[in-house]
Amino acid sequence: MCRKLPGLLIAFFALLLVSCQKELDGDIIPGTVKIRFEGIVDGAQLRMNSPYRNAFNEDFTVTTFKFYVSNLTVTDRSGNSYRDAGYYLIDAADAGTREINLIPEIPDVASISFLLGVDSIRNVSGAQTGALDPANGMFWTWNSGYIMAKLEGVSSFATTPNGEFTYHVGGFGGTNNALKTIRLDIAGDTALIPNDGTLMVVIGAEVQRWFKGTNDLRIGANAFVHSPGELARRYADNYATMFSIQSVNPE
Amino acid sequence: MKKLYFFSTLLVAALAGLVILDACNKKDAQAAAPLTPLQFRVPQGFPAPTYNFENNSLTQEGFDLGKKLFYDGRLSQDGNFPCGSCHQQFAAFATFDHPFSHGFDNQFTTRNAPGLFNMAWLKEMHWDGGINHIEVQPLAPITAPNEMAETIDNVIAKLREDEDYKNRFRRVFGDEEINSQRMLKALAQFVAMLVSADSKYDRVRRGEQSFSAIEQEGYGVFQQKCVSCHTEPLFTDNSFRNTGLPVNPRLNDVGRMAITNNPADSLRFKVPSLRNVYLTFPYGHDGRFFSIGGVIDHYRSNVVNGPTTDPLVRNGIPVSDDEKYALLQFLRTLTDSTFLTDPRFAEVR
Repeated sequence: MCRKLPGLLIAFFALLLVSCQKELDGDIIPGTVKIRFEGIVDGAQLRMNSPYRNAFNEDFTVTTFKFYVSNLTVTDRSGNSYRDAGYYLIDAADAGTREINLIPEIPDVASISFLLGVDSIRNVSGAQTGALDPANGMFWTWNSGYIMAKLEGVSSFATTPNGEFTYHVGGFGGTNNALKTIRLDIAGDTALIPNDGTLMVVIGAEVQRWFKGTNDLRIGANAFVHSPGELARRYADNYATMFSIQSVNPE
Repeated sequence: MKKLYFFSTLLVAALAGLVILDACNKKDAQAAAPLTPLQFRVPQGFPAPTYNFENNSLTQEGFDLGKKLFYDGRLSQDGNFPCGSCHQQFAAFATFDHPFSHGFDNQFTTRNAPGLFNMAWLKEMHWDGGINHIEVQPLAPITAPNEMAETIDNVIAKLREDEDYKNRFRRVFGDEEINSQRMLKALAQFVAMLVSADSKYDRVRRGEQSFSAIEQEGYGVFQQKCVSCHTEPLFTDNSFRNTGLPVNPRLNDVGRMAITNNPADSLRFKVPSLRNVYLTFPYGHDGRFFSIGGVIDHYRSNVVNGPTTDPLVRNGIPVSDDEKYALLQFLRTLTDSTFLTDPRFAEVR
């Protein structure tokens, strides 16, 4: 053993060098699509605890803005698509949660679609983990199911004792299903994904759409929603229109 | 001299590597030691269970971890309210003698704790069916401020600090990670194994024993008047029904409607299993009946009719005094002493 050992070690290191060399030779390396979600208010970046006014002239600040993104799909101009299997909890206050990296192995991105929320199957499949861990505060313990999107803040128009409004929107089945499929098309037809590079797509989520969209939802009329039902669905109908592509650039 | 020095260094490095490799393998070997599979037995004549352990491999080690968690007060804020404090084995895992159960800071629950047995056959849990999967049920009492009053993060933090839990989680799940999903799956292994199917009634069905004359008579009454809702062999059809109980204005508990928002579900509650019924008093979603006779009297003459009152009880259920007595004797035969004293389910002290 002792006599063979130096020989073995030399062979081992030689192998290492050879395999490293193999990696450096060029196959085409597919590029990354980096999708970043930004909270925005009136088109500008959302600032937590900053004062704003909504379409009904109600003052508000935002203290929490979170939502689930799942079933992310990117499609190229020829119709080929790549679907990501991940579940992401986007927290507007936490930069570490806002970016999703995909390697779709398609040449360009013509459109992006995703489910705003957690699909029904996951809502009835028992204990989940990662972004779906109930410790994230996005799972109702007494009426099993995920909170798809959460908006909280303070307003003098909120009729709650502490002036807080808390919109926890959920419901994954039946007439008041709050799940929304969002589809965004790239302006100018499509964007190329650079080989061995990154295409950055910034998607804005406009908070004002929660209050004024398909429905007029004044803070003064409802300061909270905490269960599936018609009111939750109306908030979902509203915020389904909150997304827009802010920019598409190679990084 | 230089050559010798070079090769000695290489040798030492290589040997060090081998030692590290061996140590790593040992730890992995510990985690990877085969677990002891447990079999979930479906009792004779029972339907297929709803829960199937497909994503939660049932093992003795997993079951033992779940049991330890079930009886561990640290899942509650002040240490006083483990699951086992409201779910007592000698009461078929209901709360003995209490309409509502004690919770944190001298508070009470707002619904009667059901007995825990044959849970693997349930689709929904809780009187209003708000829980859609056995694995996520513990989240409700753990986080309820009037029950165990804890947060999931705090519970996990406590588990992560405990050497015994660290070893058990590594053994059961293969690595050191302790998270809510693993905790809940372990609990589900324990709770799903609570099967009650060895009462006198079961032994009679298996041909091992016979009913006495009065028990047989009571069984006949039961099959005539009760079985549409309390269907054999689970003694519930797991449906939600309004049994005409007058509303308690202090609670205003609308039952299933709180979950479905459907007015047709107003005042509907889940049909409880009658197994071990003599141990799980008081009865009803708010524990308003302290005797089974009281429940029978309700069906005989006290049903309150409303828009959602179940058609099966709307006109009352006529039961003579003799039939009532016989029925009570039959219901005694649903007591499963094996289950109540099974050491597998008992708290380890």
